[in-house]
Amino acid sequence: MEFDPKIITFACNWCSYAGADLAGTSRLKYPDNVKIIRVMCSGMVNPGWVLRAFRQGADGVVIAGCHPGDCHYTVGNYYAKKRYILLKELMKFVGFDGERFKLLWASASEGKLFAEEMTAFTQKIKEMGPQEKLRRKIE
Amino acid sequence: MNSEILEKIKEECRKLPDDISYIVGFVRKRGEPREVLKVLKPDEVDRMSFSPLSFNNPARIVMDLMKSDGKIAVIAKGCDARALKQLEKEEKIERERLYIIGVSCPGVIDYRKFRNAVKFRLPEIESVELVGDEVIVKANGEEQRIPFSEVIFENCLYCEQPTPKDYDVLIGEPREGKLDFSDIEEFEKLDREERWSYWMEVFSKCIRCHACRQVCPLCYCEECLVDPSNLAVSPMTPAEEKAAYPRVLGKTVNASDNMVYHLIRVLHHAGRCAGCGECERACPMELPLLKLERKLKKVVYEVFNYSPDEEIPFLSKLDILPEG
Amino acid sequence: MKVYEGNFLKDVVAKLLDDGYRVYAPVKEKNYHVFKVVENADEVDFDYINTRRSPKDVTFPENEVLMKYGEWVEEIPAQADKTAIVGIRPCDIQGLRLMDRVFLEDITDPYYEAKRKNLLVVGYACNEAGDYCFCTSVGLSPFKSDYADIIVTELGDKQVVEIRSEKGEAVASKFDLSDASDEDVSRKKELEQKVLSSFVRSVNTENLKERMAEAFNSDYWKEVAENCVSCGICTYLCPTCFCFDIFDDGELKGVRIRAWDSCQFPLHTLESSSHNPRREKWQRLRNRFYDKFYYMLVRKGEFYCVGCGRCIAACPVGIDIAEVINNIPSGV
Repeated sequence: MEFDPKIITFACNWCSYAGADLAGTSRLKYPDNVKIIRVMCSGMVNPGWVLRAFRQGADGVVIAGCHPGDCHYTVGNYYAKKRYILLKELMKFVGFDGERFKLLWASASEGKLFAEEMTAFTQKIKEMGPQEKLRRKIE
Repeated sequence: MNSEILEKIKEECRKLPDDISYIVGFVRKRGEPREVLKVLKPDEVDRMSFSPLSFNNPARIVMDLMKSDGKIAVIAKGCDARALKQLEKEEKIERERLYIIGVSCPGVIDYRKFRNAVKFRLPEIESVELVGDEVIVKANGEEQRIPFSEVIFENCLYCEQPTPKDYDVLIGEPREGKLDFSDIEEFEKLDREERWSYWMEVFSKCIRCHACRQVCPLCYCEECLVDPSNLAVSPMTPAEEKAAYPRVLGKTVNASDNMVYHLIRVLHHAGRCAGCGECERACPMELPLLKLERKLKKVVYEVFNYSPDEEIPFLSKLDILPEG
Repeated sequence: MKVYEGNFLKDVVAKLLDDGYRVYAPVKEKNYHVFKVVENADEVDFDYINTRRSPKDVTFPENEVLMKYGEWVEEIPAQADKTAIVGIRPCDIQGLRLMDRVFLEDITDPYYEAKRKNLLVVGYACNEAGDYCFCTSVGLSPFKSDYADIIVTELGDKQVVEIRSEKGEAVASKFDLSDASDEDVSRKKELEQKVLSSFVRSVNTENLKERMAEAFNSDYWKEVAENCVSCGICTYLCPTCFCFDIFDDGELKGVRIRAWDSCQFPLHTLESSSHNPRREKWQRLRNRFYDKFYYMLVRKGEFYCVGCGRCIAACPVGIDIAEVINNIPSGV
């Protein structure tokens, strides 16, 4: 059976979620492996949630937010980026596959970009195989 | 010579301003050569002690004392002063109520290395003196000389500010520090799976006593992300809400869950960590926790070009993001 | 009293492994020893005063899965393999006995019972007291223990083997043991004298019950706890600390786990009404000392401190249980 990855996307309410919506209404296809969790802003995504997602068995995690300068709350996405860099560097340092964690800027009008990026990311995760390193051990 | 430093500390403490109510300093522990932190009254100066075994960081106690009234004098080494500065930036302590007696620090002794190196039983040891590059331990009329490099706390080799930057009086000649990430760079050269198996081995030893979190002067949250209870418990909280409260991590103890705990903890110290090494010293299983902290410090320096000396806290500074 | 020419402990590890036992034995890790499941007698290192962690996790593991849930609930039955612990010091054997009194005496804990019933205890008498040891102060002996199955004393070229139970007899009978000569007995006596004189730390237990009852409301405890950081080191390393917490890990599908807890954590006593009877850290620290030297003395008739000194050696801020007990003020 082909590996069917689980990808968690934290999408911001104002840009990326609307972008994903646009991808849907424009009938663009992207893999159903992507599960979207709507958050009010990419800046509210706690790095703990990302690690929790990996622990609960996600194979890839995406934080999607507005382009720099476009944040509904002015600077939320800058915080997101800062946290993203720190967490990713740390993940690489401990030997976790940093490629499984991605930051994406997608505005409300970029449905096409969202669909393309998600397709590419899913493809990449499929090639990488299941994520076992941080998955919960007692089940 | 630490006995000279001690005399100077005592001298400074005797002529403190009148409005000082407490002195946070070191006293010698009974039956052991090390010092422990103690809140002293200004008339108890004679009890004070100081040696390279005065390794604890007083910032935590100072923060606790801020709840009471009165001014506080504190003996601070380079790293202690950095922690105090960071707490001041985060408005956890008021600088006006603090009188910092800075000590230019040659590095502290790693007590575990010291216990292995010393040939005497601990209660017999009368004094530990740092003279030049040697530690002179005196007991039973004998003396043992140990090269300081053999017992120095490893983190002190990478200290970027051995002399406090912010002080009211300074004891000792200022020393130069250096920014050195050679150990981290060395580790980064390993390939991914080697690094992963190294950390898995490290974290499989962790017993989750949470001492690293509790001793850290910057881990002051009332309740931690990984604590088993729910943040918003009140008499009115319904059971459903308690059960549905998102929990990042339970008290499951295995290598990967321990890693999640340590990653979360370390991430909260980006651009804040004072590098005092209390976490690593406290760890009963001797995990190399500072390696993670120092990696983040390196990222903060290299990617964000931020120096902890800046007045604006790292997390609120946004114009330092790299392009793209 | 029997004598074995050679290293009995090491040979017993090899023998038990052959017989299909799960064997816990001291292993050197970087700068300290811990009890670990070994697969090979060569991993074991008996050159130690005491292990960094107490061996309580052999019968009371840090995480114990009690139940799995998801579509169905599946209870995990209490069961255990044949297990042996080799090289455990007399203080830790007492720790095991005190744990037995907690988990088996009034209410039987099935998980603990299963592990305990299948456990063979091979003790190792001390040849030297560590800088933090004070077991003689709490009524123990560094070389005697009637609660082990076998207890071994090192004489250098040979080892004295004392068999204390039928279980121990069954194992020891597989070895070539000779009766101890008078010389061996006197050498052992000599060694014991040497060990006893090497203690440097003691606790004054005279009238301790009355002294502690009197000092409960003293400000002394606030002073003691001044630099306490409320971490869990002392309780997690202690061979007799038995507090645990039960929680579920996972939402719709997961496991129910029993995990160690510590009275030093503020959340340990937090009630769902948000009242916390031990809110301040000095109250929590006081609780630990009273638990070891007073509450359990009243309830079970003995101290729940075995004098291993682990909490003193590992405390990051230098709180010393022996000093704290010795300095309890009187007449408050």
